[in-house]
Amino acid sequence: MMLTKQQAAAAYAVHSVAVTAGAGTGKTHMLAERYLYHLESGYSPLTIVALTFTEKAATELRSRIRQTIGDRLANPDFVAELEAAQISTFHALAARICREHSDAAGVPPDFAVLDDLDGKVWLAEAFTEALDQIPLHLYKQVPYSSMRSIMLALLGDPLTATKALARRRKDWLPILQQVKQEALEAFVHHKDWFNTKDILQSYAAPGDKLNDVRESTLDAIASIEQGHAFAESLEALCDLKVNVGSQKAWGSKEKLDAVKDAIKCIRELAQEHQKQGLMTLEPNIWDDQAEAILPVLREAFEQVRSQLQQAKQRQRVLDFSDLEIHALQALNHQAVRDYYAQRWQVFLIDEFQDTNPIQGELLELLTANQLLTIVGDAKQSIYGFRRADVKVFESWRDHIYSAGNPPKELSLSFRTHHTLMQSINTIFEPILNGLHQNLDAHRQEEPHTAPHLRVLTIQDTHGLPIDQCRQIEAQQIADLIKQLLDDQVMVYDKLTGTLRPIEYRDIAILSRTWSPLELYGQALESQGIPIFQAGGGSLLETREAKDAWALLRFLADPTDDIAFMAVLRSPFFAVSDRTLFQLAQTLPDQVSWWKHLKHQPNAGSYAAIQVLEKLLIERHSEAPTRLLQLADRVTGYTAVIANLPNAPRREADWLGFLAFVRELEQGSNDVLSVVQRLKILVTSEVEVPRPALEAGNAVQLMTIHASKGLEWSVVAVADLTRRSPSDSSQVRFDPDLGLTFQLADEAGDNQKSALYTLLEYRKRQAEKEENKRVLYVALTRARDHLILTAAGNKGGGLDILHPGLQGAVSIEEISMEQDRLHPVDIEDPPLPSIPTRILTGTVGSGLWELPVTALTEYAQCPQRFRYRYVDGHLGYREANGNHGTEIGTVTHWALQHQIQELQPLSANFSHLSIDILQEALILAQQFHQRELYAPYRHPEGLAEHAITLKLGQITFNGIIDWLTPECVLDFKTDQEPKPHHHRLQLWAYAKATERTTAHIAYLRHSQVHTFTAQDLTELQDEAEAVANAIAKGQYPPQPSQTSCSSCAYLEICDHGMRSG
Amino acid sequence: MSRLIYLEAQPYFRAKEVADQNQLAVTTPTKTTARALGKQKRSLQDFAMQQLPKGTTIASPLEAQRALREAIHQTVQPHDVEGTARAWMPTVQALLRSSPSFNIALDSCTERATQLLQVTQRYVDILRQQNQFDTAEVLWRAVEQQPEPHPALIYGYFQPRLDELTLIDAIAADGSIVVLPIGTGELFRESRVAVEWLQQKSWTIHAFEASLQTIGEKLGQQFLAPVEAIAKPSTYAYSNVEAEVRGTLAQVKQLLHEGVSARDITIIARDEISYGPQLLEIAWECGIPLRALYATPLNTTRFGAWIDLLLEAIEQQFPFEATAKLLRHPLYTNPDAEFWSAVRCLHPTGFTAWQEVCQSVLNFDLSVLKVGHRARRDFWVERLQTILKTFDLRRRCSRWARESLAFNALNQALVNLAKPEEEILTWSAFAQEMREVLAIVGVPAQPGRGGVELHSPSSIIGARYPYLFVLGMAEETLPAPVRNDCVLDFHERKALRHIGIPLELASEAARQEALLFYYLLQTITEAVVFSYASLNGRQEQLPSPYLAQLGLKAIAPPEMPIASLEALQKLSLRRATHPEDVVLQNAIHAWTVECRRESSATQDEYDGVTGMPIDYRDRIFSVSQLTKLGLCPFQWFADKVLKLGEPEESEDDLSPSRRGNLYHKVLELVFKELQTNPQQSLQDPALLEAQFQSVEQAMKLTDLPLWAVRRIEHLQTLQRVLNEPNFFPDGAEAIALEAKFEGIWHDLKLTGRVDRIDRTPQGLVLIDYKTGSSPPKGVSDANGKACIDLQLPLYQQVAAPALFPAATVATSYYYSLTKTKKLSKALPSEQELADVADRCKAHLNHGHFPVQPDVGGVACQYCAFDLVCRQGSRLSRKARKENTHDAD
Ligand code: SF4
Repeated sequence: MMLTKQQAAAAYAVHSVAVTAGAGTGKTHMLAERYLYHLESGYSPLTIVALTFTEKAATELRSRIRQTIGDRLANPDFVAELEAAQISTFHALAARICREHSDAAGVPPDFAVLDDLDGKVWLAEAFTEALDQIPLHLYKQVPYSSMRSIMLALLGDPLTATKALARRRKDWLPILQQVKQEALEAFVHHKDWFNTKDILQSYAAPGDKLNDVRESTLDAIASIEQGHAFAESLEALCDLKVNVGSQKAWGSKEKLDAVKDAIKCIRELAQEHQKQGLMTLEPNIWDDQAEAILPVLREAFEQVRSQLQQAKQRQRVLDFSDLEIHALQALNHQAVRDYYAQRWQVFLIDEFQDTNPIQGELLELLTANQLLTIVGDAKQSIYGFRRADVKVFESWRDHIYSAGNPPKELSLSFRTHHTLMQSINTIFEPILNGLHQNLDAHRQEEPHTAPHLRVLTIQDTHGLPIDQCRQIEAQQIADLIKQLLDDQVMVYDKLTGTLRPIEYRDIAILSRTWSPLELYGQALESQGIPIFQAGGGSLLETREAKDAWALLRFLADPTDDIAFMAVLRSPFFAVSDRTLFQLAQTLPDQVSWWKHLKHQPNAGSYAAIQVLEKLLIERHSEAPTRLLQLADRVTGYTAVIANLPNAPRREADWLGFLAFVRELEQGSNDVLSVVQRLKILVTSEVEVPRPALEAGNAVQLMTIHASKGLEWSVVAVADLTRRSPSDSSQVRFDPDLGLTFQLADEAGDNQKSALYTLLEYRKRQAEKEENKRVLYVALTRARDHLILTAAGNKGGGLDILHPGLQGAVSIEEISMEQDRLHPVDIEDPPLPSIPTRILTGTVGSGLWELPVTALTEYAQCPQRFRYRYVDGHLGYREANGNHGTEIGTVTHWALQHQIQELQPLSANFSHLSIDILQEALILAQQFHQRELYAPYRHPEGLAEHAITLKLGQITFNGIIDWLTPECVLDFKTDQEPKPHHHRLQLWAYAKATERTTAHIAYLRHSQVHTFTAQDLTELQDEAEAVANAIAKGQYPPQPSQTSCSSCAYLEICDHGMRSG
Repeated sequence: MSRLIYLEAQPYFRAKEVADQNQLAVTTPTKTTARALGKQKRSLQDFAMQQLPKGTTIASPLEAQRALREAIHQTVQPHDVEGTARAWMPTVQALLRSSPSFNIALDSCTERATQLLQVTQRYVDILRQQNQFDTAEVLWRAVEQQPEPHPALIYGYFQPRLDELTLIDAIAADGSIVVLPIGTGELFRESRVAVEWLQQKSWTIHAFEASLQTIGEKLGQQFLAPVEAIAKPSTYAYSNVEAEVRGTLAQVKQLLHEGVSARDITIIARDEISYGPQLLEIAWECGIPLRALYATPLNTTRFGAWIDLLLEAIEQQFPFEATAKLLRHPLYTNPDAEFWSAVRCLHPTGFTAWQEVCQSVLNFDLSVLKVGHRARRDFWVERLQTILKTFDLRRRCSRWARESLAFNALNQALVNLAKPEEEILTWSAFAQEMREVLAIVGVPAQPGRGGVELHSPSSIIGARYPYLFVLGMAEETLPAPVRNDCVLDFHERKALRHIGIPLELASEAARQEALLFYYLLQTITEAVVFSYASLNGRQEQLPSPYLAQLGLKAIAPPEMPIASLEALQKLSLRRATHPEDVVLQNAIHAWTVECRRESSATQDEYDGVTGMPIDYRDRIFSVSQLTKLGLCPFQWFADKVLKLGEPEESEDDLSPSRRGNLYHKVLELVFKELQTNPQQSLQDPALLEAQFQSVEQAMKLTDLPLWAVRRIEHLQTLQRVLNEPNFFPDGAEAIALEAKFEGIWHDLKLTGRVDRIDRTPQGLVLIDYKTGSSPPKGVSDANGKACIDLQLPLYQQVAAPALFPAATVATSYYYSLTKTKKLSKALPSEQELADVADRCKAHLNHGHFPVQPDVGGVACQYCAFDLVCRQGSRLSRKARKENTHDAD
C-alpha cells in the first residue's frame, strides 16, 4: 500500500519527528515504513529501538516490518538481524537494561520477572511480614489499619511515593494559592455572575424586603470583586433568601421573578464554589497534624520497602515497576548511558501519549542525541490510572519542534466514512478544546442510508430505580442491533474494501466499566444473538472457580463443613436440600458433616461420599490439578458446565482456574499449601484476570479501555449516565506537591487537610479531562454506524458530550414499556453434533524401545515392570548394605576396560567406597584367572557388544557382556545364582546374534550356567507373548513371596505380599 | 581413499545406506538421530570425553558453578557473586566453545569483554588446578590429545561449530564421510564456510543431485524457495492452547488407534516446557502414552521444595510460618487436623518452642534440626543426611518416581558438596550452596519410557518421523526470537569477531533458527500437522511467518475424534444416551438441577425449598436469626438447619465479627468493673488496658500476626468511646450488661441479649453496640429491599418487658463504637413487623428457604455461605413474588 502524503512526510522525515496520529490513520503502516527508511539509510536493526505499549503491538509491529521489507532490502544481514532487533514494550527494554547492568541497577543479575498478576500474588504473600518490620512505636501514631492501607497505596507507585514523601508545605503552598486564584477567577468570570450583576443593577425597589437582599447581594459581589472580606461575602451569597418581596413594589411579576432568579442563580453558583472549597482553601489543623505524622510514614515506608526489596533480592524477582525503577537507577551512571548511546541510534516510540513520567525519564537518558520518532495522539490518552501522563508527549513534541523539526500530523482516517466522521468532528470540537483535531475521511461514500449516528436516552425514568432503567436501556440496544441484523444493513468490509451485509462480529458494545455488560449480553442473548464478552471480573469470583476451590478446601480439610456442603450442592454432586435437611436431623453437635455422612448410608449422598473418599486417598499422592481432573472424571462436572448457558465462558473459567492452580502448586504439589495460598489471595482481594476467549462470530462486549486499537462497523457506546465512582482514597500523593491523608477527628469522622482537598481537586480535574478522551476513543472505534445510549437524561458521559451533541444530532427517547423488564432465560448452548470418530478406548502402552532386561522383569511380575519402565520408578528398599548394584556396575566396567588395578576405578567411581571397588575388581579378575572360564576367553571375543532385537512392536536393546563367534556370555555378580530368572535376556542375546548357546558366568560362585540350543528354542514363544503383552499395556500384578520380597516396589505396591 | 564431504540437500537416504554398510563408526549428536540410522548414539561430545587425559574429569555443573564464582570473585567483585556466576555461565561457556584459547591483546576490548575474558581465563585455571574441564571446552581439549583417527560417518551435525569441525577433522581417518545438507541460499552461508574450512583441511567434496522424495523434503524445498504445487499439509489455527493440545492429541490418538507405533509419531514444540504440563495433563485424560523428556530443577519437586523450606526454617531460626510449612509439607507428615490445631493455638516460634510442640503432640524429636553456626563442609553434609534420615525422606519420596529420582540426585550432589571436606563455612553459606544445587540439578519432568515423544526441533535434527505434529507455529514462538546475551550483546560480539573471537552474531543466530526449522521439515516422511493457538493465555498470537513462507494458511481445525470419556460425556449429556454410564447419569442429574437454578423457574428443593416444614413452636429464635431469616431465608437454613455456623475463624485475620466480639466483651468487663467499684473512672486507661488484656487472651487474639501492633488501634478506639460523654451520659446508670432475655413475639419464641440497658430519669435506654458506622439495614420488606429494622423494636417490645417489667422504655438506639455516636433508625410500623413475623413463619411452615437475598445484596455482604448457595446474577431471573405466594 502506498503511503499518503501525510504518512510519507512522517515516514521519510530526515530528522527526529513527532507525529500526531489520529484514530485509524494508518499509524502502524507509517511506522513500518519509517523503520524500513532507517534500514535503507544504513542503520542496522540492532541499532534501532522500537517501543510499543503492549506485547501484542510489539509482535504485530515486527511482523508488519518483516512484511514491509519483503524483498525491498538489499542487505540480507539486516533482514536476519530484524529477528534480534529491540522491538518491545518498555518493560522488556527496562528488563534488558537491568540484566545487562545488574550491578549499576542494583538488581540480582539472574532475576526473574514477575508479571502483573505474579507481582500482585507475590506482594499479597509478602506484605504482612513487611508490615511486621515497622517499629512498634510508629503504630502508636498511625493505627494498624490505616498504616496497612497507606502502605499498600504507596507501594502501588513507590517512586512517586518516595518523591511525594520528601515534599514540604512550601512545595504545595504556591500551587494552592494558584488554584485558589483560578477558582476565584472562574467564579467572578462566570456568566451567571455577570448576568446576576447586570439584572440586579438594572432593577430596584427601595423599601421592599427583596430589595434589601438585592443590595446585600450587590455588596457581597462588590467586596468579592475588590478582594476583601472574601469568606464572609461568599458566605453571605450562599445564605441569600428570596422568599420575600412583593410584586407590587417591583412593578410586575416578571421583574420580581427576574430579580429572584438572578439571586438564586448567584446563590447556586456561590454554593457550588463553596462546596468545592477551593476559593477559601487555607492550610488547616489537619495539615499540621498530617505533617506531624509524615516522618512516621517516611520511616514506615522506608522499612516496608526495604523489607520487600530484600525479599525480592533474596528470591531474585522483580515486578514491572521495579524494572523501570532499577533501569532508571542504572541509567544514572554515565557508563551505562554511554553503553547504550553506542548501540542505539534510532528510537521509534508508539502510543507516546501513554508514557508515564518514569518512562519519560528513562527515554530522556537514552535518547540525548538519538534520532527520534514519537507517535501519539493526546486525544487518546486514557491510562491516567496507570500514571500515563499526556504532558510527557506534549513536552517531547515541543522539544523536537524546538530543534527545528516541525510536528507532523496524520489526519486522514481510513476507518470511518465521511458522514460519520463529520459528526464525530462536530461532537468533539467543543469538548476537546485545544486538543481537538478534525479528521478527514478516506472513504467518502456512505455504506448505508442515514442515520449513521443515533443517540437514545431515557428521558423520564418514571421513578424506576436505575437498575431497571439500565435493563430497559439494554433491551433498547438489543432491539436496535436486532433491527440492523434483520435489515441486513450494508457495512464496509475492510479486507476486501467492498460493502457487504452486516454480521454479528461487526458489532461491539462498549461501556466505561464492565458492570453493565452482563446485562447487555443477556438482552442480546435473549434475542438469540450470540455474544462475546472478553473478560472482566476476577477469576476467583466465578462460580466454576468457587466450585473447584470448595473441592480443594474440602480435600485439604474434610472437616471444613462449608466447603463440604458447597461441594455436595454443586454440580459435582447436586445433592438436594431435602436430602441435606433429612441428614441434618441426625447430625450430632460438634461432629463434622463429613464424619457424619461417612457412616450414614443415604441414597442421596452415598455416591458423593464414595467419590470423595477416593479423592481423599488420592490427595496424598496427587497434585491439586490432577485431583481436579480426577474429580471431573468421576463426576462429569465439565460435562455439566459445557451444556449450560454461557458454556464457553464457564469452561474457560474452569480451565483458567486449573491453570492458575497449576502455577500455585509449583514446588509443593500439595492441596494444603495451594488452599492456603488461595486464601491469602482471596483475603487480599487480588484480582486474577479471567482467561480470554476467542471472539468468533458474535457481538462483542467490552470496556472502552479494552477496545483501544480495535474497530467495528457498528459500535454502541452505552451506559452513558454512569458517574465515575467517587474516590475516597485515604491517602493522596503527588510527586511535586507531597503526600497527605484523611485523618479521623475526635468523633472518628474523617477530615481533610487543605493539601488533601487540593490533591483531590487536581485528581478530579485530571479525571474530567480523561473522561472526555475516553469517550473520544469510544466513538472513534466505529467504521460505519454509531449508537449512543443512556439510562437517564443527564450525568456522566452524557453531560460531557452534551455541548457537542447539540449541533450533531437530535436525541431520541427510549420507550419505557414495562414488558422490557421481564427476565428472560438464556438459551442453552447449541447442541454439537456427535463426531463420527469416537476413540475413548485405550491405545496400548506406547512402549517401543526397551532394554532386554525388561523381559526378565516382566516375567517376574508385570506390575513391577510397570513401576520400573513405564513410570520410571526407582523403588525403595531398605539398603541391605551389600551394594549389589554398584558392585555389578563396577565389575562390568572393569571387565570392559580390562582394568587390572584400583586407580582407574577410583577415578571413575569416586563416589563409591574403596571396599566396593576392591570387591568389584576381584570379581572382574576372576574371569581372567579362573580355569573354568578359559573356554570363553576367545581371542576374537568382543566385550560390550550392542545388539537390538525387534519383537513385535518393540525394539529391545542390550549390551552383551562377552560375545564370541560361538556363544554369548553374561557376567553376573549376584549373591545367589538364579539362571531361570535371566532366561529371556539370554534368549534375546542369542537370538539377536544368531548364536545357539548362551552362558551365564557367576563370578562369585565360579559357576557357568548354559542355555542349550534346545532351551533357547523353547523360550521363543514365551518371549513373544511377553513382548506382545507389554505392547498392549497389560500389567497384572503377580505377587509371590519370593518375587515380592526382593522387589524394590514392595513399599508402594498395593498387591505386594509381605513376608511374616 | 580420501575424506569426503557429502553435500546433498536431502542426505538421509545416502547416510542410512552408508551406515548400513557398517564400515564406518557412526557419530551423531542425539539419540534420535542415531536411532534414525539404526545405531547407538555416540556424539562428538561422548567421544571427546573419553579422550581426556588420565586423571582428569569434567566438572559437574555444581563444581563448575563454584569455580566460576571463585573466578568472578577474584576478578570482578560484583555485589552479587552467585547471581553473576549464574548469569555469566552461558556466556563463559559460549566463549570456551568458540575457540581453543584466548591469546588476545585485551587492550583492544571493551571493559566488559576484558572482564569476561579475564574471568574465563581464571575460571579455566581454577578448573585445571582441580584437574577438571568445563563441558564446553571438551572438544578442544580432545583435539589436543591427538586422538587416533578412525573411519567415521558423521551425521546430524548440520550446523557444525568450529570446535566440532576441528574435532571431526582430527578423528576422521581416510574413508570418513561428513554429511552436510546444503543449499544455495543465504541461509546456508555458515554451512558454506564450514565446507570451505574442511576443504582446506583436504576434505573432498562429493556433491549429489537433489531428488525430492518425501513430503518433508519437498516442504523443505518450498521453505527455501517456492516450488511447483506441493501437497499442502494440514495447518490449523485453534482458538487457544488448550484446544490446540486437545486437537493434536486427538489426532495422535487416531493414529495410535489405527496401529501406528508411538515411535513413529512425534510432537514438536519449540519450547517444550511451555507446552509440556498441559500436554501431559490432557494426555492423561485421553489415555495417550506421551513422553516429555525435558528436565526440571530439583526445586520444582516436592522434595526440593521441602529442602528449601528446611533451609529457610533453620536459617531464620524457626519462625512460625516457615516451620509450620515444613512440618505440614506433604512429604513430611501431612499432620492431621489435631496437630494443626494444636500448633495454631500454641503458635510456637523459635527452636525451643517448636521442639516442645513436636515432642508433645507428634512425639517427634526435632533436635536434629538444631545446627551450629560454623562447621566443616563435610559436617554440614553429614548433618543434612542425618536430617533426611530422621525425617525418613527416602521412604517418603519413594511414593513418587520423580521424587525418588530427586532424592537420589540430591544425594549424589551432596558427595561433591562435601568437598573440600575440611573447609569451614557458615550454615547460611552452606544453605546458599544448597539452594544453588536445587536450582541447577535437574530430574526428568516425567520419568519412565515409551510413548509419543515431545521434542524440540534441535533434538531431532537428521532423524526420521512418519508423523509430526508441530505445535506453536506462532510469531515469537517459532521461530523463537533471537535473544541478546546479557553479558556480551550482539554489538560486543561484532567487535570481538574482529579480534578473532567467533561468537555467534545476530544474523547468524536468526539463520540458525530458520535452518533448524528447515531440518525439522526434512524429518517428515508421511504427514505433518502444523498448528498454533490464536490465544495463549490472554495474549493474542499471530501465525508464524514460516507458515507464509511455506505457502500455508491456517484454517479452523476440522471436527476431531473424541479422544476421552470426558469429552464424550459433554456431547452425550443432552442426548440421553449411554444409560450405563454412571458418571454421565450423575452429570445429567446435576445439569438438570443447575439449569433450573439458572433459569427463571421457581426455586425448588435444590435451591432451598425443601418443602419440609419446621415447627417454629419447637424453636427459640435469636433476634439475629430472625434477621437472617428475614433477609435471606437460605442463609438461615444454612446456618441453623445445616448447622454450618460461622466459618472457622481464619488463622490470621480479625474478622469483623470477631472484632465486634472483642469490643463487646471489653466494654462489658469495663462496666462490670465500674459496677463493683463505683469510684473507678470510666475513662481510666488502666481500666481499659486490664480488661482488654483479659479479653484478648481469652479470645486467643495474641496469636494473630502483628497483634502487638494491631491491638494499639483497638485500644485507641475503645478509649475514645469511653472518653466520649454521649457514650455513657451523665445521669445514666447501667443496670444491665449483655442482658439475656426471652419472650414471645407473634407466637415466635425469642431470645437475645441487649448490650447495655441504662436507667435514666426518662426511663430505660436500650443500647446496641455496633462496630460499623451505619445502623444495620434490617430485614427485607415485601419488595425485597432491606429496610425493616427488627432489633430495636424487639428490644423494646420483648426484651424490656421481660427484663424490667415495671419500667418504661425511654428509647433504644444503636451506638457506633467507631464513630462514637448514636445511629438512628426509623422504627417500622406494627403492620410491617407483623408482616415480617408472618413471612418468617411461612418460610418455616412450608420448608421454604429459597436463596433470596434482599435486592441490594446486604444479606450477602457479611454472609459466609456464598460458596454453598451459588448466588449470583442468576438470581436476577428469579421472580420474588412467586416465592412469597408459595409461602402464603
Ligand atoms: S450469600 Fe447471599 S444469597 Fe447466599 S446465603 Fe448468603 S445471603 Fe443468601
